[in-house]
Amino acid sequence: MLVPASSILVGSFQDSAGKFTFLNFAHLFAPNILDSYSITIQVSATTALLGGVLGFLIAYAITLGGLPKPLRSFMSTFSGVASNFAGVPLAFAFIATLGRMGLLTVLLRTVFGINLYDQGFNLYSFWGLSLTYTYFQIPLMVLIIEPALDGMKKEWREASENLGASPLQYWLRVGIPVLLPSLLAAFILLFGNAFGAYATAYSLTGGFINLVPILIGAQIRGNVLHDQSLGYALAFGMVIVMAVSIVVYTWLQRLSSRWVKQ
Amino acid sequence: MKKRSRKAFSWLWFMIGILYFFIPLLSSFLFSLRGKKGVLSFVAYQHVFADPQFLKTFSFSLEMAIFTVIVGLALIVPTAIWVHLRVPKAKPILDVFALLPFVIPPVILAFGLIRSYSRPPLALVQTPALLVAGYVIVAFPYIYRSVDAGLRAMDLRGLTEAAQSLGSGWLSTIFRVILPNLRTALLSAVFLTFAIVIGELTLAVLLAWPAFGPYMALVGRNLAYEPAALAILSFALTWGSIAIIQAVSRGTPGGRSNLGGTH
Amino acid sequence: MAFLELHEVVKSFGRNTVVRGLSLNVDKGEFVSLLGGSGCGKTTTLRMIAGFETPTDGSILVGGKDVSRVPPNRRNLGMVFQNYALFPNMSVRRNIGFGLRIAGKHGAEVERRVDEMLELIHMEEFAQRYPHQLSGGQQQRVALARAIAIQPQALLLDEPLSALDAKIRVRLRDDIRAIQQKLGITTIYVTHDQEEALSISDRVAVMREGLIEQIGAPFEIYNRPATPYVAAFIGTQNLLGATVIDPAAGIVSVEGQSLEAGHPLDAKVGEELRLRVRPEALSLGRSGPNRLGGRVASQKLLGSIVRLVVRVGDTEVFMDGFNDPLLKLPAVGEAVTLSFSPEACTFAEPGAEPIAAAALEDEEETP
Repeated sequence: MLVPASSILVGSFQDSAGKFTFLNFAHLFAPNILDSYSITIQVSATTALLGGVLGFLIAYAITLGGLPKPLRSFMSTFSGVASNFAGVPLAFAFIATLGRMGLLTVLLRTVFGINLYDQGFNLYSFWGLSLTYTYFQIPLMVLIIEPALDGMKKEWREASENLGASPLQYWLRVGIPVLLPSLLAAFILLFGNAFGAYATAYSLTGGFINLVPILIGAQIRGNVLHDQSLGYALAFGMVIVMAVSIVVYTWLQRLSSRWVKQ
Repeated sequence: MKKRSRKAFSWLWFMIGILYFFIPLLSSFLFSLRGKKGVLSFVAYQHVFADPQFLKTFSFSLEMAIFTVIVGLALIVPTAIWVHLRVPKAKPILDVFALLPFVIPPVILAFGLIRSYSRPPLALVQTPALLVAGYVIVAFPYIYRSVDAGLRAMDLRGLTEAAQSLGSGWLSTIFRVILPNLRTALLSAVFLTFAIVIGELTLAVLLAWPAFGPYMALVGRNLAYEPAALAILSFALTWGSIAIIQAVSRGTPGGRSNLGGTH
Repeated sequence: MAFLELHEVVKSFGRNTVVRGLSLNVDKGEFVSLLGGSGCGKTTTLRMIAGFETPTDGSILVGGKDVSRVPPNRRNLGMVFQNYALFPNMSVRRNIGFGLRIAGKHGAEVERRVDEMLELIHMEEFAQRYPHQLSGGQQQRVALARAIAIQPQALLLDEPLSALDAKIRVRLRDDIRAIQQKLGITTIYVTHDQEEALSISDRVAVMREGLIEQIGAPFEIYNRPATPYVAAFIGTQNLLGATVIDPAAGIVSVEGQSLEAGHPLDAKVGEELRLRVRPEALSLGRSGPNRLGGRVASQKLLGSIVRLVVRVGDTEVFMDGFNDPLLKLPAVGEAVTLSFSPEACTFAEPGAEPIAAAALEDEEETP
């Protein structure tokens, strides 16, 4: 049943002519390819960090922060929607917000006299792309980290206070260490999520930034493979990055589930 | 510990989150209303609906979604039940499979699909079957997680044993006992799959099919206000699907299990 | 002056008042249990002492100092939680040393104190384990050591044994008492288990609806319940309808059989009263001055205790005796005589205890 899936996965690992060769991987070290890996990793790491921190704070607010219950279910539902709201429509939404004629751009220019684009901002650049990615990274983080925050026992905080610790000491010595595996796992998932993102980047920049997925996409536009060996090498590099992420992710998951259950 | 300051802190971040989420939506909405010079109107939406391509691509994607759901459920539901009942040891393997589509981004998936199926005996590249196959793989984690959660929420072994001790055969056990109990899990899998497939861009573009995602991208290149209208429509569509899932799964165990989408 | 004082403490959550003007004095080194059913306000009271809740009204004094508004991390009171609440990311050693490190103690000093604590709870060989590698009983020992490591002014325990198995519960409760007496630490112990409260406390406070019904030594609580509620709540009671025959001589009639109260009764001739007598105060045969005749309805073996259910007129009366392999029990249906001393019975107004005798069974195994 899973044969199609697995055969494709295995197939994408193999070399171009069906024989084993190291030649493909030499392509990986061409400067422009390395550049594109580096920028993809930068974008992924930035958005994972940004989305991770914001998402964590929001998840904290709705779980432990003592906000009214309906707000929590609203935010959870919304996160479900927003984390699926990506690709083409998301790109449009950000063009309408931060594009040259976008609402926020115009608002800042007319009301506050700040011209974003004169300040060197460009939606189709690194930071524009990162901000856009962050839009689906935040809610994804909320969804991932919510259960972990729910697993934080109220008594841990109380016990630490009872033993003389301040809230800050509690977070530094208990809260963060307990959450660390979940936080790292979430970061990795967010990283992978951004790393593989194609649709958003494609529709936002139209290939202006040389992200790895765009580069791979360029090899196969129109269902014909342009440069098979390059495509393979790229895909292989990508699979390696993702596989490492997922291995670390499952390992951390196991660690955190061992801690939290008692 | 000052509960009040914790609460203020929480409100602050909650509001920041709301702002980050809603400003782009609001912007798109306002933008979409500027189709006619000087006045706010729904002209952009009219244009969208009037475009024959809109209907054509949308219904194509809808068709693909239906096929994906059928094929996906037919493959995954029996597997999941079988693994739960007969080979619980194989479950971790299946769980890893459910993560694979996250490891293998759609771009690579498309690459692999073309590579594997472009030569005889499996020259499927020219048929939409390949697209559906890709979608099934993309949707696999979502369907699997829903079904898995649903199966875990009920006492599968107990139910089947009870049904069999009452004289029920395998087929009637599955159709009369297990599936009715999986209803909400299956519905949420279906809606999630719809939400994902209809807006999907990567596979459609790379395999060159006239689906809704590429259509939206095309519109975005050439027009100004209509894309914003499409963004709003698409958001409403996703919201609608998720709202239905939430409504259906409310009060039943093992409901929510949606994580991320295809970006 | 008492070491720990609660003055007219009130706690409301919105419109719901949980503690209604509770006062309590605990002496230094004393072990006091707060005993009551769920919702009686016992845990809320403890949490106010610990500082996790702020009293709506009234004051809490520790060592003569009002701490009602002092945050929990500056009260120096050790607390043990029902679900242990050990920090999962720290070893046993680090858990116990947590409070000392927070207080800025030196490494060597911390280690020495932790070693002392490990010895006290007999868990030296578990120092490097993590909480998830320990059983519930072991975890609770560590939680106890962690709470007393900081040398708190008082020890607060919130149903510490209710998540444990019956056997471990009994052993650990004795350990808690032994450690408490060894250190002479003032202790407040919250529980819903009366056997637990009676067996380890210097004094037991029976709580009901946010107030203390009665506070006293375990023997006093059990043998001389001050209110009908306490009488009904603690242990098992037989309730018999009694008609006053001679108030001055203390003679009543139960099911047509005459009984002595042993003291004059404050009632009129012919008045209906309730006579309370505990099952273990009854014995078979004609040994005591008060005798009731009836027929055996059933026998129940409750482990070390055998309970005979005897039908006296329309009432079922329980009689408890020690189990014994040589015991010859009367058969079901056989006529028997139960006797008891006048001192064993107490009286109440009719209707004060609307609960039938059978419903007054011990709630030992309440989860």
